[in-house]
Amino acid sequence: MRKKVLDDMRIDENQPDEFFPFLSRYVSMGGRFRCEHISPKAGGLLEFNLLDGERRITVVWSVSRAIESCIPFRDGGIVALGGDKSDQVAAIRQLIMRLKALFAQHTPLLIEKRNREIEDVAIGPDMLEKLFGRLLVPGETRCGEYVFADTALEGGALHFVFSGPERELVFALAAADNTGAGKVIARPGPFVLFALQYALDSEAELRAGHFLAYILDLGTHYRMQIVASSDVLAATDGVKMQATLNDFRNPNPFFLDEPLEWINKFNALFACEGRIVFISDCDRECNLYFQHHNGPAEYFNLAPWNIQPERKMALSFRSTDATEMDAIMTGCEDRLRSLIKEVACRERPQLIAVIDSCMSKLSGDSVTRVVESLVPELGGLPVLDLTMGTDNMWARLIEFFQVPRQSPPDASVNLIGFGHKRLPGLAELRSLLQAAGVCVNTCFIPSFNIDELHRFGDAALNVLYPSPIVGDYFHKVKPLCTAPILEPPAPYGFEGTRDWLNAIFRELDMELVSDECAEKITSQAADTWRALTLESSQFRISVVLMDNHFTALYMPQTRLGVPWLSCLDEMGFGIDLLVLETENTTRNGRPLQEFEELVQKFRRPASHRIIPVSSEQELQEILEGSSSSLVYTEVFNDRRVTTSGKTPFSVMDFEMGFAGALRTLERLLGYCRSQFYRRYKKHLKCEPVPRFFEKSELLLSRHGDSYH
Amino acid sequence: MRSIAFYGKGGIGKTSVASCMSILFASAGRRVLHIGCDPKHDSCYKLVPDQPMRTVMGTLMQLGSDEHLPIKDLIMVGFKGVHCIEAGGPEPGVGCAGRGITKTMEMLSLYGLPGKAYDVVVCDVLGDVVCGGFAAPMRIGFAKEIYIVVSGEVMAMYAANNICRAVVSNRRNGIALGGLVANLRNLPHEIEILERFASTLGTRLLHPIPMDESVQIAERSSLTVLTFAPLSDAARHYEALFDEIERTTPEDCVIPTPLEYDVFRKFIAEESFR
Repeated sequence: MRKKVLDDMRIDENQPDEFFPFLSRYVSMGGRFRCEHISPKAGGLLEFNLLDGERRITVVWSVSRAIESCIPFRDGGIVALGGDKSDQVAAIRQLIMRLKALFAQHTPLLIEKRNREIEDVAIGPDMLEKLFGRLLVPGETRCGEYVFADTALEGGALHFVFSGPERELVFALAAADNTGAGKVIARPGPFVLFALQYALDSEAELRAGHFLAYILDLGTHYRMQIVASSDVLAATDGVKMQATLNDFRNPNPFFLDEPLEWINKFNALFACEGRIVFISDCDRECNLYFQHHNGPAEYFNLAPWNIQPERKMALSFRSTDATEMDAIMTGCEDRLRSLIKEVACRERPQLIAVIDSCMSKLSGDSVTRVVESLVPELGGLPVLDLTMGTDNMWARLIEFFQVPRQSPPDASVNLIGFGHKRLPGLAELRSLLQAAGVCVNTCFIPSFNIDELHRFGDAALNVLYPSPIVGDYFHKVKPLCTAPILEPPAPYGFEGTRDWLNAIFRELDMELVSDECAEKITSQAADTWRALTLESSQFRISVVLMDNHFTALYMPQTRLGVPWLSCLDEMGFGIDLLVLETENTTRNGRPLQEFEELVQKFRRPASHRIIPVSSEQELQEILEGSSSSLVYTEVFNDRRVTTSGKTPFSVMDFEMGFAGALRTLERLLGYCRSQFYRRYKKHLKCEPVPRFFEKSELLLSRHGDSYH
Repeated sequence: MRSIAFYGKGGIGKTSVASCMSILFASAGRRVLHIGCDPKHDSCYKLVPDQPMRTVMGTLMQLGSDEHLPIKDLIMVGFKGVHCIEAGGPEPGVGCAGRGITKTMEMLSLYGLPGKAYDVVVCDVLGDVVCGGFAAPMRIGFAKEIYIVVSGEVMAMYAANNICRAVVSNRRNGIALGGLVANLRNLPHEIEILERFASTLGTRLLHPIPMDESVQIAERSSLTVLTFAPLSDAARHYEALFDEIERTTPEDCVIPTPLEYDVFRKFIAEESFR
């Protein structure tokens, strides 16, 4: 019987006419009540009609939201109608037991709340894919006599067309405040659903209408808001979570709050585009970090260290769900093996990533051995073993997905290490390249798109971001690259962006960006830029350095690729380089000359000053008396900045591209105008001032932590 | 209630000693609980040779839950009315046996064992104390008096020294070392060496058990020498050992002074050339 049920699970889940009859049979199995039929209703309700001889009980399960005085179950609640109290209790118990058994094996799409992570949604054609994915497929999804045919955008409402044997049914989904003509069927989330042409006078029409309303309720929630389409990232199903990831809060791609290992291991995989399933050999304690633990099929939260209720990752997360007795008696290798096989069979992922946990380490489970032994059985499905570190992860991804070059190289590039694809600066770079006729095959590191990775080998050029982090990640990929690798200075500032583009065009034997062309590209921003640089010339910025940090200023690697000093010069700020003498250098031989040579290379050397500082006390006095508005310091957690009333900044504030440069300037000017530290500096005086570290290398390695 | 645990190197004869002590305590009219703390579950078979061996871990695995452990069904009654419980554990090569021992101790505590129902609890613990799990009887408080079974072999003494370190580590639980039990291997000057070793550790050497083939023959019949050959010399020696253990008072038990590795090597080298 169990095998038959599992076989039955291979039904099309987007077909209500297949799934709900199956669910009826499943609920009936081995129980006192027989489920006659199940009806989806508006409001995310499922109505189960249960029969025990002559006794009829109707059990209503609110799938998507809790209802007062109902028995809580998963996201919603269950209530029984009809019959006496004992029958109701028995019916609810049977239903819950059967549903739990079902969820222990699988979470069907048609009874699962979706899209918790999406808060902004625009009414448009892509909404269908974004919110409903495989649930509403034109030409496939059938509800009785009616087949979902198509959608159309008309008058700010999305029309859902169902074709039937005699006529078409048209439903309109509009913003909740829309008072359009038609019978209101439901009000899911921020929307209202109308039946436009007919009053749903037949049973079949009513059923189709209720099914659509039911689906809409599963895919929306009360926090969702409707925005203009331009404000919404065109996310696909695999990248829904991106808007909540840290990289969108931080404009720079590499200054994330989490340790780099997490970026490497988890964020990259979380932010990837494609069907990826995480499988962890972990115990129930680990599972407590996940949203639902009704069975082994779990959705991973944003991250176990950053729990946000009501948010779900779009990635599927499965665990072996080990108990203490598993750890003591057997370990979970067999369970892990069967779980990987099940996921490969049922979820049809493009990639499976396997991780272990303290439980599996203690009980001696070898996840690596399990993965290796399964390779022949998975028919080429790539399985990424992350238990032995992530050194090989990027190279393995290329090995998995890169296909041999199909065509001679054209004007196409791979952008490697420029951050997540949805980063505004990267989006601009892509569009600039595409406008010049250069196709961007894929953006790789610290995220990736599985479909795009197939074209990795087709590119004529691999453009690398100049950062040691990217270098570390990429060095094992290099031997796999068929195209040359170019590592130009990073595209920050107007000039930097233009130079970056020219470096690529030069390599591809293309025409370089002329002055006229550059003027044309930046014409919209030029006026704003000029006005802002006029304002920025009134502000000064102090940079606190030690005299042995000179080399670091030149090396883009030490600033994670951001040439921030030249950017500040281009933006019109006056720069005060406060060079603190260290114990390692002699007073007579101050290497200030090197700093002076550096300044002479800037556009406006006369605007900048080099101020030697002999002691920390002097530095404090200079800062307090300085006219600078912003201060950058190499000293970790240096409270001198804020206690002297200056606003701190860091290279985190810089963005790539022309528009990115403009946003950066606006941001820095905003800091300059801020009165906060000037006003409240007296309250910060009591904090101890840290001493400079002896080893400057330590400071350089931690500059990302300076202020944020 | 006295709670006694026998530790020692694997194969040194802990189970033989512990089983005999349980029987002798029971013969003396004490209510005895014998706990086999070994995943191999081979401690009680000489006490209950005719019964199928049920283990705590095996039962928990079958139940899938520890909420309703049928603890009374797990107690097997052996010779002289000794109550026996086997911890059990994973198959060799998988899982975590140490955690299994700890889990068993926790389960017994949870279900009120040993409580006031017993006068003596005898724990027969697996081999060397290789991890915290095997020190569970000391850590959870099931054993207050520790006896280390040892011979004149270097590795047996090495294990004994290590176990003494575990006793020191867990001394705050009120445990102490009752002495060394010499299960002799007929080595030259064995008793003298062990006496000096015991003295170095700050403890005493209890009545030595000479090597006797009747012990091996009894084991082949799944019996202790006390039940197989009660009139043998070996049985008399066990009884003598029992007399010493029974007379042991808290004042006789000490916190040992285990040797550092280098000092231990030096001690062994000196004993070799003595």
